[in-house]
Amino acid sequence: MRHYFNSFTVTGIGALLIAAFVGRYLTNIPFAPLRAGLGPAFFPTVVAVLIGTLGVLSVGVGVAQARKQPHKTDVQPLRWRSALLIAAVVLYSLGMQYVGLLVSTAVFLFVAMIALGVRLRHAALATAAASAAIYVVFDVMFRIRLF
Amino acid sequence: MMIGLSEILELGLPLVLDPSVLLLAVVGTLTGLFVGAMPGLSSVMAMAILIPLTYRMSPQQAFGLLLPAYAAGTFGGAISAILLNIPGTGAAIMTTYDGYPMAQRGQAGYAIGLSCVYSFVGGIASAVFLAAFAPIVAHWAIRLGTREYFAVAVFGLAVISYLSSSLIKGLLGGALGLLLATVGMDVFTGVSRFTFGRAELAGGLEFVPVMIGVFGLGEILHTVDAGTREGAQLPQKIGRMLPELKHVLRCIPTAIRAIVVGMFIGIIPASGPTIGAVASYGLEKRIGKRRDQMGTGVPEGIVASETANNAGTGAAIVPMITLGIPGDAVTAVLLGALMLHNLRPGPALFTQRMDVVASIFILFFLGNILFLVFGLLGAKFFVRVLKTPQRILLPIVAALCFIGAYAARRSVFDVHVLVLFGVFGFLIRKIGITPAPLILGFILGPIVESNLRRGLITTGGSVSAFFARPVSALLLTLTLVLLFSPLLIRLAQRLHSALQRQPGKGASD
Repeated sequence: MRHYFNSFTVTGIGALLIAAFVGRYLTNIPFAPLRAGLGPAFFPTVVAVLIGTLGVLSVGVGVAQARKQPHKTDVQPLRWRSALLIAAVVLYSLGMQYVGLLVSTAVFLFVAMIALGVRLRHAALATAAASAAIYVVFDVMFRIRLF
Repeated sequence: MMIGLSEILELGLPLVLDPSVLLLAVVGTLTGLFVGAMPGLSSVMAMAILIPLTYRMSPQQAFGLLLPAYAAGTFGGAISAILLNIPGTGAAIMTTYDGYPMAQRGQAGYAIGLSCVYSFVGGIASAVFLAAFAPIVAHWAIRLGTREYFAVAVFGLAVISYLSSSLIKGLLGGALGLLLATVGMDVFTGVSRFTFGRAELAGGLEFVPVMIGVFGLGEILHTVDAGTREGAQLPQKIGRMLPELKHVLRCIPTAIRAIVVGMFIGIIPASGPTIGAVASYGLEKRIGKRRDQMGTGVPEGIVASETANNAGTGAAIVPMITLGIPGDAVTAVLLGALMLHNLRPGPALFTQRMDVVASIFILFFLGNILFLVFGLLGAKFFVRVLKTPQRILLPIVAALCFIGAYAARRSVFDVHVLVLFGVFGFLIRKIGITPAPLILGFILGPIVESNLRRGLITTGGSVSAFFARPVSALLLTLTLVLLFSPLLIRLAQRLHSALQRQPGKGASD
């Protein structure tokens, strides 16, 4: 079976989806309150057309590549460590408003180091040292409240 | 407008000699050296993380921190290029070819010392070039109108897209950046675009969290996904650091060529020091005295690369400070720093805030002197830094990204924007889109849009009017040639092979 799942087809489909979304969104924005139809929707429309065109070209290149090399793809699956780190990052950004920046930073550091394969004791030590340094630099020196 | 050496010193020196500025310059240099030396951490990442710290500083303090970090980071990339065969920054990629073989022969210290000295030479030459040439460009830029500004910005975007691994992906990155720049209130009509009812987006996407997200968090996630590196295997012996005078003198002709190439390419909007280093190495391989030995561990290889990349740093600042068009990703971040301090780059900066311009010139000069001192004295320490496992370092840098994004405006929303763009930056890297065109599009978006619309309104919607003035016509024609060059080259190749296949015609034709 041909491997149509390559970086160009993925890029192209993504670009077409973005262009379609922008096109749909811009129907709510006036195109021409200014002279020569140069209202607020003008420039985003030009850019959306450009993105759509590049999307079509990218899909075309991707399909041509798949025909030349039917069993090869250049898109590597997401590693579990990266997925875990992304999850930690998202949880950090959601949790920081409830527990404060310093606590959430310490928890993030510990979880991220464990996710990357650092030993428990080393992770705890590095988290404590880094959190203390961050507190001193940002809270004490730059007076950015981290709680 | 035109500014002489005495004025630069008179206006800038008292501001730069402030102890806090000097201290920040040392901190910036050490940060630049550290980040430049560490593979997986880039100069642009360091700059993006440092910017929020400058929020409450004076422009002199801010640039006292940032400019030495830029200069030192460009040299710092050579340390890991020589010791590990991994360039710490993109600009040091050609240094690996001769630096690593020298390190394997037990000449690591000599190679680092030589790259430090000639990075300094290139940096000082570019600092002089910046101070001498930027006022001339600024003076000339007064005459530029909307059509010229539009053409310069579009040309910059085309160059950076062309230099991407794929032209389509590069252009797509630039177009996405332009689209992101339209978020917020339209300056012509006051109509909100893509704000989705969020008051925080009325003024547009904040530059700092977007920048830190794409260049900081996105890069970290990308490095983790590519597989983290454990403590590095370094050469047993580093050896003598200070190069001998006869060796330094031997490389002077190479350095002169590298300075010219580095500056010439560095000043082209969006090309930056990396391309300069590649071109300089290529030139040395073609015409240098030891061209046959290039790539086997000859000092000329290191000098060609390191002199050119640092010669390109000051040159890359010229279009940024005079036209508002960044020369590379790092100068794009510097442009953001100017805007964060309510300083608008362009000719007006040279008339209204000459004190800031003069201090930028002096601080860039100072940054180059500082990395020479700390580079030669502290290189052995930075060698040890390379042993830090990325598994510990990367989460700490990610935490600094979060705090940096929060610190600028103390806004939780900015942290959410950072995370969104961090993940987005990671995903686009995964499909082969480099983030530099995206950020350049984001920065140049307002320039492109406002000048395009203004130009079309004043010319009654005539696109051909953009080709009616010489500067805009030249730049737009060059842009079109650049964009269609892959197609033209392919056509020429097909024509050539078709001619060769014809009976009676061949190579002799």
